[in-house]
Amino acid sequence: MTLKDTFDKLDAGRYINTRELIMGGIPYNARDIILKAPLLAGLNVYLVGDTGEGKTELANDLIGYFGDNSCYMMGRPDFEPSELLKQVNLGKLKDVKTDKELVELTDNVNKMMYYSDELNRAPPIVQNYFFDFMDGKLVHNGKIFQLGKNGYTVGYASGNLGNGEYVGVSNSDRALLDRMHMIIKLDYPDYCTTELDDLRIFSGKKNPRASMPENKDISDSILAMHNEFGKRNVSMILPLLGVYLTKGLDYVENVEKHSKRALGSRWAETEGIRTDTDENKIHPLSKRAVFGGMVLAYSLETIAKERGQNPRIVDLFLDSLRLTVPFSGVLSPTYVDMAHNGDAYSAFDSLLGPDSQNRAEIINKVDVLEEALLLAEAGKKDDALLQDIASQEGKWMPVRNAISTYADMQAENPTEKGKQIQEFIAEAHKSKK
Amino acid sequence: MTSELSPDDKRILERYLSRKSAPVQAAPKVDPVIAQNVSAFSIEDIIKNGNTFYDSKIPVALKQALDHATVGGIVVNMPELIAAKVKAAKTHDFWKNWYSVHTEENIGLDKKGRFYDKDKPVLVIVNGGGILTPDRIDKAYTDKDGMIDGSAKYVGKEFDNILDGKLPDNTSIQIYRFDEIKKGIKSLPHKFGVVMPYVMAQGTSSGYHQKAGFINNPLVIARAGGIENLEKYYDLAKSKKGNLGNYHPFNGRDASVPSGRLLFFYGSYNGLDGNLNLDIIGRFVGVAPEAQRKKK
Repeated sequence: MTLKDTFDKLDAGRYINTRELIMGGIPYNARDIILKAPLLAGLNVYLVGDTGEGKTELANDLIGYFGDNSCYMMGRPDFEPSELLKQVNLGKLKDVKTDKELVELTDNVNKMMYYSDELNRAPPIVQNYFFDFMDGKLVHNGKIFQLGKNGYTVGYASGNLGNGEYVGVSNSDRALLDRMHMIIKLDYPDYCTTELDDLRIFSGKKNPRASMPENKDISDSILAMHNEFGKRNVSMILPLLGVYLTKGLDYVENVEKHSKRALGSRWAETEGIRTDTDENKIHPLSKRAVFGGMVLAYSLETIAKERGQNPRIVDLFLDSLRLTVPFSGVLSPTYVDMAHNGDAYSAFDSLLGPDSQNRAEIINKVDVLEEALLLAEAGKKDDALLQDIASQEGKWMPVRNAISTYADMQAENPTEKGKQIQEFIAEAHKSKK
Repeated sequence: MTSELSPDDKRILERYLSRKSAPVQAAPKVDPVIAQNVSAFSIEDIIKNGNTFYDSKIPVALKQALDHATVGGIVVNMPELIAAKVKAAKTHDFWKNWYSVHTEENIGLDKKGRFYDKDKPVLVIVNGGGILTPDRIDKAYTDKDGMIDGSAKYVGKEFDNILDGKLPDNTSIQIYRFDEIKKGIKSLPHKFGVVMPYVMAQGTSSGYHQKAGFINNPLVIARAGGIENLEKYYDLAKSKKGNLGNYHPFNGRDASVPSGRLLFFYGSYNGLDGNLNLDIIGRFVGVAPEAQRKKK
């Protein structure tokens, strides 16, 4: 079965949302972003927003796609962790005596998709269990057990507004949020259903309750699709931008140590921090957030290429960060509240969106980064290129250092590709003479 | 990572090689006629014989200073005043007053790509007199739409000419790229220009800086005409908390409409300022040709 066949199957379902989003210069619909891309790459998704935005319909679609390979959990105030363990039969773990029993237990933790509905209604301790599931692991009796089938798990969670507070937007632990690769506010105008969708939804059903799943189990196709995705070659430019986002954004100009991380949680209010740039507005991203954005970009690129479209990968990556960063705790809450009336997406747009200074700076550097990177692959450095990347201490110096160190490393242990680059350059010089 | 060169890899390498083999973009050749006012004045001349010209209108103060300097003298520019302050005693007026300097900052597009990429915005700092003569400033005040964002709005080829090193009086000056200035130019004349990518100037902080942030700041280096005096100046001028200012108006300012204004220099730790509008008061230092004769 081809990737396209599986994508077509994932188009079938109860959840309706044809909202179009431009990412990397090409249009995607909400289903591409919320369903196909995360399933392709195995990215966890946290859906937040008001009731009635189709989260339960989406859950039912997912359960339908995964059939017996799914595990559905409902967050409730009286939820007991033991109940969660029972669902994957972990109660048996301590009694395992034989290989056969171990296999049986392993079968029980071999679910591919974990869906936690109304996560915010579960007590914090239970939420921690859920987040471990999202990490594809389970800690029991001091041992870590990998979940999933052939290394594949994907986690979805949803949270309704309920009592006015929900985890993931207003008051949650940053480490927990970080495990959710994507956090999407489904009631936000950019992501909610269109008016036509609403018309179709309202005219198509007479029962106000969410429909039960009825899709065919296509978990094997999803697994095959994921394995195929893993074989694809990826560009090195995104990891390099990852260095900028994790190390470069850490830089502060006028404060000792020049590091936001060194300043701790009050970095944004520290004396001497610049207020006329992004210094007091965005914390460096976590590696997990960058990784989430990269993988989402690669999966959206795969979806586009299956349609014969070719998105701009750097823009696609930066656009993908809009789905991983705004609620991951890196934006200064003061900035979000004071300058953007609490709208985290708007704050993100002004810092990393298409019209932002950061975006312009990054796009301006792409050519030299690509060139310096290929030279580094061949163990070579061009001082002029390195100078163009960063001529002084600042946000781009970690990127320059990364390329420089990589070049040194490659010079000592040349790769086949590095040799081919050297040959290409030598040939070009020869033909010029 | 793939072990074969992809079409994208080849495209990137070809782009790199083509850029490397392209002739180096040298600064535009200037006419052999070097502008008058080439500095034959030492910093001591400025400290000892500089006269102050103040008026509530900057073009009037500038005209008075130029009239005093006549053809053989100078109106002190930013690099010269920094150098003078470094040498002058802390009791000197230079450390007590603010001054406007004969240094202008112009922004616009480098349409021919003379220094950097074609059609990209650049900042051109001109020392010793460029587009903004007293008459031209007056014209900006009186013309309809003569000002933009507190700067003189340039028309016709004014900005293009300055990128070519051509002054309104048909003399020429040398325009240096920022990287040349940063490396250091021996014996800079009184009149010269510095060009840098506008995005580089925009990327610098407008406000107070600690030592490293100040002496490594590209805009400070360009304004000072190099790094030579920066560390000493910082050490002398900084506040008790180690702050020294460098201000600019470039954040969010569109350079596609060319414009320019003059720089100011504070006696205190407020430092260098390009954030003041052109329709403001002025205080210049003029040095007459007699200063040299006195020395002889």
